[in-house]
Order: sequence, then structure tokens, then C-alpha cells
Amino acid sequence: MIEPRTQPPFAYRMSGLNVVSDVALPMRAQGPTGTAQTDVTFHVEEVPEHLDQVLHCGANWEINETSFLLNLPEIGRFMASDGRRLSIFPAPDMPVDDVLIFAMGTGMSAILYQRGAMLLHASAVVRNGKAFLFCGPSGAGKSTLSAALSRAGCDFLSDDLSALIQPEGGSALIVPDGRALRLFADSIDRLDMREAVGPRVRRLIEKFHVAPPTDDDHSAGVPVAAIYMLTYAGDDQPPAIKRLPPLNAAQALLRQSYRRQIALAYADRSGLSARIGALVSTTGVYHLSRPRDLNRLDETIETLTRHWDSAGQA
Amino acid sequence: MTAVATLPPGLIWLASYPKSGNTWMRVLLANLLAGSDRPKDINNLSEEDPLVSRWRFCDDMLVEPETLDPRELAHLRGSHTRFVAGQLGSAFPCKTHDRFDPALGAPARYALYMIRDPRDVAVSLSHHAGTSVDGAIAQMLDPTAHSHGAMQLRYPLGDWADHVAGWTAQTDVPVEVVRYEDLHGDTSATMSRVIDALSGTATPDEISRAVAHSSLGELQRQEASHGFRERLPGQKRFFRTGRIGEWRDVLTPAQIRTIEAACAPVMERWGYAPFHPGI
Repeated sequence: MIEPRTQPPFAYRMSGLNVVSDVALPMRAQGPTGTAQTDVTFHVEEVPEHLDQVLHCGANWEINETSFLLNLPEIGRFMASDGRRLSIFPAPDMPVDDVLIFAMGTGMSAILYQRGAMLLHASAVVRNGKAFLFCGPSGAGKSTLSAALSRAGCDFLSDDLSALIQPEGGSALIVPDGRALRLFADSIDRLDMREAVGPRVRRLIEKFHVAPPTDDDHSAGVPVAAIYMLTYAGDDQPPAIKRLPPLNAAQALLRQSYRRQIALAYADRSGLSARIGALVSTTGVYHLSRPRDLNRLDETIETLTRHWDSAGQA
Repeated sequence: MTAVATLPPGLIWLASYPKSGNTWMRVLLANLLAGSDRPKDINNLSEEDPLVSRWRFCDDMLVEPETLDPRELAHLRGSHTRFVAGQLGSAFPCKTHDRFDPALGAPARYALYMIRDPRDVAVSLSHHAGTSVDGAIAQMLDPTAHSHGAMQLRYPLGDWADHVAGWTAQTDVPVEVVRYEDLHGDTSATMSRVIDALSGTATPDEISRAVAHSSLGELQRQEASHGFRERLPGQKRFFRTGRIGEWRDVLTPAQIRTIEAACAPVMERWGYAPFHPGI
């Protein structure tokens, strides 16, 4: 179960960073903060409506030299500054625990991009010491597939945000997200994970935080063996895996950057295009199409396992 | 070949109730603006992602739609549309099946509203959604109907008659109404009218070529060889017959009566004579 401590400060490990928060987050807490270096702090505090000297913006967000601001009317405002401080300002009458999902997702991604990270909108599992990533937009079934693979013996690494590290001269590594799975009730039932269910993602949303089924320590990072772009095929089609040519693979990876507009705004800082090029040259990127029917999830797992065994990837 | 057909910059809604020719119009416009000597790939029309796409919404707004309640989502969709419409440097024909809502619809420069005989819509919808004809009719008469797919936001659809009346009677956005039957009967003349309405330019040769590249035969050929990514799971084929008046062979008298009882005033307004007048 996901049982937050009851007194601040709360300490967590997210995407390889030590996070200390004023407010309890819906994920597994670390022990007392002790002497570990704090990388990022979360605070519930006032956030301005706009930034000065805006360099990039969208309908509801702005970026300047130091900060990223997300404005969700009647929900709250969120500001990430200098890769170190995340400010959470719920709208009047909005409970703070109902807006944490935006701080932990978009807000934390801005912190990571400010620190030069490369992030994919992907879930990830580990098998025999190698990481397999599953990319797709919300609704593509990332969480359900990674939960099912975890039930089938893989270690769970990430739910929907995968942070990649590119060591000098080596292959890309992925560090654990640290956050809980987020699953709809039908997937929880299908995967028989009712005992692991935690709080709702938001009060009015029928999606729940679920404790990951495995808890191995992969904090040093795991080499990425393959990346899959998830699509649904017709229910009359069997699951199928097809490798993408390098240019299509690069385009697909850019499209599946986590909160791509923030990634593009910080692309110079992170060296995004060079890193995508490096990733494509060392790692297979595939299309994985499979039936939507949850009762046929096992066929997808079998197809993946065969692919891993035949390709000698795991 | 050089593309010379043009449309002025700005957001253009390609609006319709489902199964009323929206996809055909998108393919026609894509072929016209491409001006190529080959038909566009129906799975790669080089369009911007429509605003109703979940990927597009999350990409632009930086929040997952599934983490928003319906009121929050509607609010942010309005901001999204206003922002995108205000930034456009070229024409963006954007498909929508949303019921007209001024907060969402108004920022567009123009709207093309595609309308089709609701009795044929019922037949087509039943094939598309893999439901019975009665199920399709029930959806068409349900004022609370919503729609969504794995790749799209959940959006309000409403019933057929209100959908048509909402888009065609609103005064927020200039609208050109295109009857599917007219597009089917004389595609080139109808497209010429559409381009004029949108203040675009296209020569008769360009229109003829786009029409040939978008024929039902061509679309079916492409779907048979490569599939069509917008086909729903379980649907045998997306580009089916496109036949006018198929309802006469398929619908029962009771089904015809049900549709006409609910839709007759709107049907008559757009030239679809009731089979059972006076019900």
C-alpha cells in the first residue's frame, strides 16, 4: 500500500533525484531525510499569474530564463524554478491533494528539463538487467502493459515518465520514476491488483494510484534495450512488432517526448536532437500493435517475450 | 508539380455529425492543397493533429485529459482553441464532431458544415460502430450523447437534429453548408463552391485532379492495401459504399418513422423529404 508519513517534511526519490516536500505525495516515501543531499523541494506557496520576459509560451504556460509556469484556471498554478524548487498554489477551495498530480507530472518534468534531462512519455520495465520502454499518449495502455509485465516477472521501473541518462560513450540508461502506477478500475480488476490500490489520482477521476508489484533497487540506472511505440490493432489482429527505420524512429521519439513543448523549449540545454540521434543509433525502436481487449493482454506479453528471446535482447 | 491551390490562413472547422462525409472532405482538401500528381496517402494526409486529438491536447496544454473533470476539460479546450486559432500562419482545416458551442467554436475563421440524410447516416453509423441500426438510431436521437475513442477527447455530440441546427443557425462563425448528396452528385462543382466560400483559389484542373485522387475507388484501393488508421476496432472497412438512399433498402418502415418523427423539420429545411409526411 502507499502510506504517506504523517508529518512534514516528506522525502521521496523521483527520476533519480532526492525530493523533499511540504506536502505528502501519493507515492512510497523514503525514510527520514538524514544527510542525503536534497535536489528538489516542493512547496505549497503563492505563484504569480505570469512570468516576466517570457521566452516560450502556450495557451496556459510560460517559460522564461529561470522558470516554467503552468496555469490551470480553477485548479491551480504551478511553477518550477532553476531545476530546484517546485511551487504549488491550489485555486481557492481546491484541496492541495487534488492538484498534486499536475505538480508531480508536468511540474516535475519541467524541473528535470531545467536540469538538462531527456524524458520520454513511456512506461518501463526491467528484465534480466535490461530496460524496455513503452511509449504512447495517454490512453495508449502504457500503465496496464507495464503492470501486466511486472506481474509476469519483470521489475517495474516507470509508469509514464521515463528519464534517460546518456553516459559518455555508453548506451542510454533509464532511472526509476519512483511514482506509483496509475490505473483505471478495469485494469486493476484484470490484473488482480486490488490489494495494492491507493488513493484516487483526483477526487472526481476514476483512476487510482497503485503500488508497483516489485521493489528492486535499480537506482543506478538500467541500460535501455528496446523502445516500443504502442498502437492498437483491430481485435481480429494478433499482436505484431515491427522495427522502425532510423528517421521514423527519431521522429517517433521526439513526438513521444514527455510534455514535448517543454522539451523543445529546453532543447538547447539538454542537447535533445543529438541525444535522440545517439539513442536511435544504439537502440531498436519498434511499433507494437496489439488488440485493445484486456482479456488478450497475455498474447501481447507472449509476443514481447518471444521478441526478447529471439532478438537476444534480454 | 507545384501546388497553387490556396486557402487563407486561419482555423476552418470541418464540422459534421459522424458519417456525413467529413473524412471525404478532409481528403479532398488535402489532395487539393498538395497539388501532387499522385493521390495523398490516406494514412498520412500531412494534416495537423485535430484539436480533439488526445495527443494534441496534452502536447499543447501540458496536462493529461484524463486527469480533468468534464467542466475543467471544456474550459481548457476553449483556451486551447483560442490560442491555436490566434497563432496560425496557414489554413488549418480541423475536423470536429462536437456539438456547436460558442466557447469552443467561435475562434474559427470559417466553418464547413457537412450534412447527410439522417436515414443514410443511421445505416452508415451502424456499420461504422458495429451496432444494430436501432442502436445507431438511438444514438442519433439522444440529446445527451457523447463520443470518444482511445485517441480522442470525450466530447458532446448531442442528437442529430440539434447538431445540424446548432451549427447551421449559429452566427458566431460564417458557415457554408455542404450536403453530402451534392458533393456526391457533382464533386467538382461543390468543391469549387467550397473554395469560393473559404476565399481560396484553385483552378478547375486542380479541382478535377483532387476529385480523382479522392474518389471512393481510390480510397477503397488504399484501405484494402494498407488499411486506414481511423477505422474503429472491429469495423470491416471505413470506406464502404457511400451510396445515396441506401436507407430505402435497409431501414424498416418503423425505423424510418422513428427518425422522421424526431428530425422532420430539420430534414425538410435541408431538402430531405420525409417518406412518411405529416407524422
